[in-house]
Amino acid sequence: MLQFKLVLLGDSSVGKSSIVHRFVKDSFDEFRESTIGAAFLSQTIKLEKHPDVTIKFEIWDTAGQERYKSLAPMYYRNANAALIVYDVTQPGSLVKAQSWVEELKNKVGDQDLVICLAGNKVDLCDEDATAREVEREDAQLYAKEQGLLFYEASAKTGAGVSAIFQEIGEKVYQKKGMEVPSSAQARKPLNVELQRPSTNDSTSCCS
Amino acid sequence: MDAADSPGSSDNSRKLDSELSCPVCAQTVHDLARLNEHLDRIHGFGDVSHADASRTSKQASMSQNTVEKSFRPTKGNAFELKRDHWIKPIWGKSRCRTCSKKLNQAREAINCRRCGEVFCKNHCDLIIKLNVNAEYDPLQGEWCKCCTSCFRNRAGYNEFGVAFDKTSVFVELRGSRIEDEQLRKLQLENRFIRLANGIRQISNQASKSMLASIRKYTDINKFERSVIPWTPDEAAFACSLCSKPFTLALRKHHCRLCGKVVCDESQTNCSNQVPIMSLIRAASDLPISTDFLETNVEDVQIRVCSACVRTLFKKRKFMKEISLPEPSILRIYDGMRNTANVILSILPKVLSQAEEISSAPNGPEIALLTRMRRKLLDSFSVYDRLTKQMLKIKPKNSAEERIQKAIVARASTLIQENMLPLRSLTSTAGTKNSSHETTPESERSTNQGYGNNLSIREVKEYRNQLMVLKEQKFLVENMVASASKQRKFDEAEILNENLRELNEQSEMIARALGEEGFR
Repeated sequence: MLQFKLVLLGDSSVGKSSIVHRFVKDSFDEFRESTIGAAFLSQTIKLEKHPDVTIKFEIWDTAGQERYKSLAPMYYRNANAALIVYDVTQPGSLVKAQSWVEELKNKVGDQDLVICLAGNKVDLCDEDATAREVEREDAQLYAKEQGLLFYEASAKTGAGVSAIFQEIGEKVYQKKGMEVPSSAQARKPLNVELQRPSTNDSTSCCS
Repeated sequence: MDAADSPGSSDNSRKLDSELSCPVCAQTVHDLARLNEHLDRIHGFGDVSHADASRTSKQASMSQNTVEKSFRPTKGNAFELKRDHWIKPIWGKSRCRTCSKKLNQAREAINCRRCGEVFCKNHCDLIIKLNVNAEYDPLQGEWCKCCTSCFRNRAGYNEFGVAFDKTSVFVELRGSRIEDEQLRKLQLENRFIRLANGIRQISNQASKSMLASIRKYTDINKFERSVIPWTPDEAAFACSLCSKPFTLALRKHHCRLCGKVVCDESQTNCSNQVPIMSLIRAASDLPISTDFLETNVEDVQIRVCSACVRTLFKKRKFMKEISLPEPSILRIYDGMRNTANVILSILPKVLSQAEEISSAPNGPEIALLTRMRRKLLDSFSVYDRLTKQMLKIKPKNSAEERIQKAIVARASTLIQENMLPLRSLTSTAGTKNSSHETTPESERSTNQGYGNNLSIREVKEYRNQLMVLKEQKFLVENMVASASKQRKFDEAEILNENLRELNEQSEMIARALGEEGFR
């Protein structure tokens, strides 16, 4: 069994926790409270294209609120995959998602990291077509430019959620699982920055 | 239709009944019941199966719009509103005047009884009183449906309802009550003066002759009854204040000031034996001669009820209390407040000055800053001293203790909040000072303690990060506990690893914060 660390990033209240809960527990809570800090969940799946491969996702569901921003580096630092979520009815959340993509590319380097961009809450657009503020094509174009996986999903109806994780699993497996099939090594990524970049500032040293 | 059934229809309506004619086919009918029946059967109003008296007036009002001059029943009275001003709706074309909703059938539409315009059901849901000519008549009119604009256009309408100015009535009532109380107080005061003087006289006589001294208490008793006639014991069954019935255990007593029968239970405190001297001292402003020998009346006690005591002494007690010097807690608190004001007014000035200097250092300005900073530090030390003084005072009761605690808590937060920017200031000022050699030695030595060159914003940011990390640590610890409880040891291991990372991180930040960290 391969173990992969996956981190969820995105603006607050775009539905990160809802997506994870749909994936892990197949449930949806209309009135979910906002996440504090970062929550941990795990789920094991079988890859559709390689039925003999099981992948266990260790999912860190981070809080989107600005206050907890400083926690995120700890979780994406040695993650194998990042799922960046935005809300298709909130254009601001896509901007935030793009800034997360930038941060990940600067701080981690994308050779080990599989990044997936996911637009959530498409069920709102099915009810009312005018609710959509972010066109699928725009987001898809951006994802293509940046070399990200792209999906639209709805945690409420469950549409597209499992496809996201299947695809991520597939991609991570291609990148890492093929090279080092042993589970022990799969958990240890290669180039890892052990120090937080910000703490290397001269300001933080003792004088 | 209940109009016809009700027995209380007036003569007037009965007269109207005899001349009734069907509004549709003009056929003459003799009374309301017949007309109802006629309308139901011939013209098909309402539900045929319920064509009798069970039909409600609501159904009737729904159907009446179809005919311009249909009969409209009102409660207990035959009230016929003018209808020729009603606009006849064209189904499918007419629209509600308010919401422009298309009106397709009679069930959806209603005429405003006053202006006659057509509305949908939702926009004609208010009622006002109108007379038969559809004019406003708040006194003799009947309740009729109307639209919002007609409701608002009526005379005397305002947004908040009806307003009456009752101030004069209130002032009058209150004035008379205060007057009553004043009178009552005066009466009691006079009675008390007479009582005190009389008792003094009797006591004086008692001190002169043997006979009088034996009779002293009977004399006093007799005299007390002459000042105010006592309510006879037989007339009283319960205490006049607490209404408890008298028993063998609960004895009857008379108040010497009002003469009423009261109990003397300690719980309700309805009446008490009070030494007359203490009463005289409490009411020292009354013209009672105090030249007599106190020993004579010292042992004399009179019974007074709590109501009389309140009337006589409440205001006096209050006046006495406010003339007393204020407690030391409040005195110190005043001092603290003044110092705090000084600190809060100087601090922003000092900070802005320091910022200016750090961008463009210049001799006289630095001297000014140093002076202001010294003043600020002095204020802080004064404040601190006052706080310590406050802590030394022993509270007299629990309320005072609470106040004291609150003041001290406030003081410590104030010092914490305002000392922090000052610290960073000392470091900037300190570096500048050393280069310009303008400050005395003592000032520089105070700067040594705060070695970290962190700006206020950085400190804040680090503190926030540390807080978030600690929160997360707590969360993860809980997660570890629940994971091992559910025997998911692989998860617990991952979480433990995260916990280690969190610890590392928070240590790093704590080190960066150094002195500014949480203690």
